[in-house]
Amino acid sequence: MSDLLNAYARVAGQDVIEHITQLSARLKGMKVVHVNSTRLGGGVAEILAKLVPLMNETGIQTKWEVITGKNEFFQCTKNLHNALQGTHIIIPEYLLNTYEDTNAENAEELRKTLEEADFVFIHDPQPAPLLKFCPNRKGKWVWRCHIDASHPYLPVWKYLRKFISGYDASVFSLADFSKPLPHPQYIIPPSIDPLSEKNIELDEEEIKEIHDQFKLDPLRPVMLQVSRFDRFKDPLGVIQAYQLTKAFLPNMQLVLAGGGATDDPEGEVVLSEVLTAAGKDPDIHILVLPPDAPRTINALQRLADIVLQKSIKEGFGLTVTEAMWKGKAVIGGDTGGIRLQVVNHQTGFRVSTPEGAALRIRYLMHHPEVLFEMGQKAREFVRNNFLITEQLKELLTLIVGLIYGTEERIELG
Amino acid sequence: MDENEFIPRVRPDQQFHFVRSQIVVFDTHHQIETPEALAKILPRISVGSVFYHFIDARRRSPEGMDDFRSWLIASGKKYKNLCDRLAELDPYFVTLTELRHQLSLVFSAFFKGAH
Repeated sequence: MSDLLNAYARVAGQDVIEHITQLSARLKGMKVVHVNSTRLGGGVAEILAKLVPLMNETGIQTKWEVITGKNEFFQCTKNLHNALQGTHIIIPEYLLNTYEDTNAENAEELRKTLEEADFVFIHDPQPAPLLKFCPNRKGKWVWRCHIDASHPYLPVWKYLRKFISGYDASVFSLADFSKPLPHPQYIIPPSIDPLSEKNIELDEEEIKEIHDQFKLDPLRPVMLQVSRFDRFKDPLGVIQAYQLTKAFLPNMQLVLAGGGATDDPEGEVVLSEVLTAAGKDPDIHILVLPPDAPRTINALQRLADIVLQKSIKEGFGLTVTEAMWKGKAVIGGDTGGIRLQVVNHQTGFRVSTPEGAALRIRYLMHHPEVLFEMGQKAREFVRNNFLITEQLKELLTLIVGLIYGTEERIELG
Repeated sequence: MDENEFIPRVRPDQQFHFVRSQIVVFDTHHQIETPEALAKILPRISVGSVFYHFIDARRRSPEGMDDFRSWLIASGKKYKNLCDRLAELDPYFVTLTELRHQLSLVFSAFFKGAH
């Protein structure tokens, strides 16, 4: 086994690596291509940067192709992206023409690679029309949707659906995010990389430095939420929950850690509201972190006693996954992918109000043995379901499933 | 629903989804020869194996029995009590992790002379 697979086996467990090995044995020599629109920045690029090397380690020849385009193309795709997530946007026809023409041009460049591949994964709307421009494709094409398409702006969805319907299958992160399509739809949640800077084990010294850096008292409990300063993350609700908790647990400290708001005008407004709500309370720490601070977030999640993700609306919620991987019970908003991860009384509690959050925080702080046990269960739940090795296994299972067709049972052993 | 006095309401974002599954069966490469060996390995087998041998097996076998009991019955009458204890386990009200723990306890109790 390669060093990379061994490294993952040590944290994810030998079983999942063995499953990956057995699945990939059926697929050795196959050519797989992933296509998206950027190699740097964003969640999709982050996933592919890990997934593609891992797939190659298993003996499947995997390529990662990135389509290119001018500003107008990306202006159109940003509108498509936002419209899929529900924003009412009328996209001018000239932009849609640019979108299709750009895909046609990229198809010319990538045709040989795409048409001779056994499996092609097209990620999100940007490269979706490529299928139409590769009529002599040999293999199966899968559309992978990483966003919440449950309530799209319908005219845009109807436009995109024309390109997506012809795929052999599509993949969504949650059942809630899917759309009716005339082909099998698979549900594969996103995942975290346990070997990344954000999730790797840290030594006590590094965690202590974070206490010092942000003037947190290591002898007093900490409740933490890591999120952009965005109304949908309900940071004001978290502050209220903290204030209600403080009446019973005067030692509590609150950390609200989020990214910078330089390119998000609404983010600046929300940050301002949060700072006002925090007032002069020395135990509320509002941290505006630089965009690239994975180890800081890692350390904050590890030092927290309780982690909150009190979102009103959420996609999958990988910050929840990260916290659970670090053995933390999570108090989460009853929405989106948080529902899939936070199981009441097992891995945390789902709440809808600051009062509910405060009650659960008080309960857990008064029952440290329950808090510990939930944290352990949370970590195991992530190990079994939301690590990148599991995502790879599910992707390989999808490929095997498409080869086997609609059979209920596939025997590899 | 006909028996209810009122029609249950669901929040708009809590719709029901029909989801189909395909079962993929892996070989663990673990082979055991005796029930005693099974008792030793049980605490460490994956929850997937627990599902396959204790729940899925009931759909595969003509007798509707799990793999453990089928194997023990074929091994002889001395395991009857163990089979009876296994039959009392209801897998549908516990998690697979808890089920694995219950199976381990049943086997452990039997081989420590509690039968």
